[in-house]
Amino acid sequence: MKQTKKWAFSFIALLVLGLVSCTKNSAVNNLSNADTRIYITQRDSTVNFSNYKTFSINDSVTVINNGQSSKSLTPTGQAFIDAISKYMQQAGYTLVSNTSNPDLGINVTYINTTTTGIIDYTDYYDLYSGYYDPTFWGYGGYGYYSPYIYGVYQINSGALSIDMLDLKNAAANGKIKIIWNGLIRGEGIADATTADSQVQALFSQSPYIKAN
Amino acid sequence: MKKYIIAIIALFCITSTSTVMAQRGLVKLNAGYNVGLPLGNFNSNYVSNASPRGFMGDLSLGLNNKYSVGIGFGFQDFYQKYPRAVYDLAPNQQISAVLSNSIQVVPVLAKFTYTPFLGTTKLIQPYASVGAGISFVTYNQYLGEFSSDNTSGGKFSAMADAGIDLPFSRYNSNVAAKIGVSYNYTKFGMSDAANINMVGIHAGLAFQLH
Repeated sequence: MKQTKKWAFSFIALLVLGLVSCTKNSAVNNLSNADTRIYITQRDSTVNFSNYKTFSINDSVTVINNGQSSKSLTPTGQAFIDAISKYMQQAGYTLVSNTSNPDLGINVTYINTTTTGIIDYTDYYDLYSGYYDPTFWGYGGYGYYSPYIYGVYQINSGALSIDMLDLKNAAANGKIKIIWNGLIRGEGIADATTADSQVQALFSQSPYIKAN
Repeated sequence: MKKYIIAIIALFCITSTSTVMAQRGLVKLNAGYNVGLPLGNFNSNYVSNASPRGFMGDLSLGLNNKYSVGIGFGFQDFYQKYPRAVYDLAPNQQISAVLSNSIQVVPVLAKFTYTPFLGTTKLIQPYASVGAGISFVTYNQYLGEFSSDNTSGGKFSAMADAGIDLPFSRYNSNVAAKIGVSYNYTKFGMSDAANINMVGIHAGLAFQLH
């Protein structure tokens, strides 16, 4: 009988150990970098995007590192800028320089934290004037306005944010409204080889962005 | 002739009585590998993949050679990844993501088992059992690598199980192989699937401990 008990408990121990080791509680560990990524788009529902015809895109990426911003233009940043320009033109908009009174302005921001913590994205927009001088777009002294509330996200990886600004109506509105935002989060965002497909994902889920 | 028949019947009764007595107080431990097959809303709304990651077992005390009571336990891990799709977070907010559902169920149930031929020398011994109790459920939904929803807690659970024991020896076997099929229900109250229904197919060993 003692021998039977020994066998019984050995059998159960083996069973449990075997199962625990192959449990898919590691659900997200099985994802590829591409599958970890999420693409969030938000729009100002009062805006008709076909009222805009021209756009300009900031010539560098703003990198926010633990709240400190700097301008950067790496090959990866350039790949994102090129991809955004490509999909805007495919949507029927004409690329012009920032000094040619574009209807739309586009800023690209890479948000990075080196620590795991809580970031409130409302801070991102509260500090937007610090990151992007409105003078660049010809509207010095104007403030930015965003209707979006991301809530609070825990960040342990990078995020790329693309903001579309309404410059056409800035003077009439007395502020620069952010009429569309695309946010990419997940692993392996800062990769020039996948920049095009990442931007394409944002535009394909935003079919309302079209000039005609 | 009559005497012989009476003697045989008397012997049979004595043997039966002794086997009945022999099963009283018998402690058995059953444990085995379990495959979970989701059913109903759980299958259509949450996880349709079969789960090959599970076990089930019980510790039972014989009341006689037909009935036993005990505690059932187990574990089942369900997981499913859905292809990338666009979902509405709000009317003006969309998200594209690979959605993953992950759920673990750990039942702890009071069980009642019926074994019509226990104590006989039959090499195929059918059984049927029912149980009710609590399942500890952990539920996580991920959008990409980000947890979007998670719940855990103890929920009401019930099960019915039927199968056969195959003793390794016709006489005095302390070990038997066991195969069976169970139906398991857990009231969970998730948004898309109000309960967890599954069929379990299990195979393992039954040990006589005492």
